[in-house]
Amino acid sequence: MTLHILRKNPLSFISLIIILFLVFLAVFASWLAPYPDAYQGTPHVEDKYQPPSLTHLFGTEYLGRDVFSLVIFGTRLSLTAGLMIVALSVVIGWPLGVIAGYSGGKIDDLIMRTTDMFLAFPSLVLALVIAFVLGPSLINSMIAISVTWWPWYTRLARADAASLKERTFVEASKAIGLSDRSIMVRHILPNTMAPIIVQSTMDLGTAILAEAGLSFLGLGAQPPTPEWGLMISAGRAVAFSAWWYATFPGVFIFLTAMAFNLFGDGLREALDPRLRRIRGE
Amino acid sequence: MTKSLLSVQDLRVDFDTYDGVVKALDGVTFRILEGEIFGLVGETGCGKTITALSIIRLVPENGRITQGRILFRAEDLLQKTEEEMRKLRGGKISMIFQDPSVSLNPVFTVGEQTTHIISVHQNLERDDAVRKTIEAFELVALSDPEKTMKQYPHELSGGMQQRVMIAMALSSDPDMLIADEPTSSVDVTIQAQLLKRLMQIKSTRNLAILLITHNMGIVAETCDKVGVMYAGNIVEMGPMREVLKNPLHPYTQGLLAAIPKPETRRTRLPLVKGSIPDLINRPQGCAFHPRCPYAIDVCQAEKPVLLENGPGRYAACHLVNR
Repeated sequence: MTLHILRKNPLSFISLIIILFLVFLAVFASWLAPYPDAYQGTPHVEDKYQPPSLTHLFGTEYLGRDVFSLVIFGTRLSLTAGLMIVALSVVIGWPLGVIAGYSGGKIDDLIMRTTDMFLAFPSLVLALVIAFVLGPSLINSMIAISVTWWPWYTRLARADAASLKERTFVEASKAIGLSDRSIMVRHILPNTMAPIIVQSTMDLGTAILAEAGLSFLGLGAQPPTPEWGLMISAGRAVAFSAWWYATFPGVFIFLTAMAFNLFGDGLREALDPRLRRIRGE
Repeated sequence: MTKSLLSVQDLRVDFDTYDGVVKALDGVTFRILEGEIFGLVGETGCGKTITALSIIRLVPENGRITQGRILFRAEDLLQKTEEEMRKLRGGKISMIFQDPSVSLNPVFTVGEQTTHIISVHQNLERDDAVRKTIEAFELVALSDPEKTMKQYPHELSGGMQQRVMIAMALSSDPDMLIADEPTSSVDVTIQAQLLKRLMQIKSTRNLAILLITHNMGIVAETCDKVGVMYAGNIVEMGPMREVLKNPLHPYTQGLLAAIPKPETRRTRLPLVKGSIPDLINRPQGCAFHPRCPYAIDVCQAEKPVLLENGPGRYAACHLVNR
């Protein structure tokens, strides 16, 4: 049914197709890339900075590697990074939010003031600091972004949990002898799932963007990894003589972030019956 | 002689609000025998539900039990640890609520929910718990237990949902069921079916039921005894037939007179004048005196106590107990 509603919304449908296409690229990168050894093969420095042509669709970069192939490999990196960031944030933030909302009182205060602390910093700055402390690498930058990200899920889950705990079925569960832990795991957590799913889908795009940002600043993936942000950073120096080097990874970042955002929007509409009714569907 | 199952003695519950302390229960006393149906009736806000929630110690967060004893068999429930209470709830004492459509978790099938409750209370393997669930559903006359198990709450009618709730509540073979207006959200035919089924289960299992309702018709059909509550007090209590036929307390009389009857169609119903008192600033003396047509001086000065007045009949009224 959800799929059916998604199809009615052309933007979400297109975004879904883009996402599926990106996933396809990521999974089959080794077969799809015209130069499968571009990532880890020997550089062909003699071919450096070739403009786009039929042999090199997106041109070549400073080591003579095929940018098209690198962008395809980059899809794999970016999607994985986005997924890991969001997954880690959800795993930390969601249960904490449920605990805070359901328990209330001091536990609630403790957890929510902690999230306030994290949210009081500009997230990119905080991520920069953490990535810097941990040392620049792709994994560390993912951890750094997750650390700044989880409080959003905590807030989201807490709001829902706090209202769910007043619902009669929670009272009924207590009256029938379930423990608080049981109620949280069995009743509260599953009922807060829908907004978490929607939010994490929308966040995937932003997470990929943030990851590319850290790599661009040199705190994420290190050369010669074909990470999109890193490629833009390397291409920036030659932006005028070899425009293709920074442009194509940029286009892919844009496409990915946009696709996830649009898809998240569509998903929210599909899952929220109130929004559906407003649109008269 | 049947033994006393639950004895509530001088129970007082206060609620802290921004406007002051609400004395929701002001010395509630009653007793339920094994296998008996005790009806608790009264207006909205008189403390029926709070009494029920106090028994299983689930008074809302801003409320506290300030005084009293709740003896279940010989044990005082107010002295038990939270862990002991948790085992008791849904074990020996179960409770069902007014609106079954919001008493079930919308994201799990009713089978999963019931099976979970059973496995928690009886420490059973999944297969055994599933078998018990089917038995529980059969007990409450759900026509196709195995199909019902796979359904989500929203796929069931109100009557079926309440049957599921009753099945859950009875799954661990409790000694007492607290039913808080169990049938007020279903239509009258379903209501009759549910009550009939409950009566059958009650007699085969020797189950005691504390039935909270404001429907005198239901009381007349089902209860052995009845307690009438007003403003956090039990004002009259006794065998159902006698209380309904010959009410002692002016409030009970007013309540019964306000039930429309076919022969009095064209006349005005004699309502109980006024409205329920402010529970923060309770009236001095008898809480009912500002509305009582027979009030005398002593009613304003002194709070009447619940005294025996004939065999098994109790009333808290200066006029009756003179």
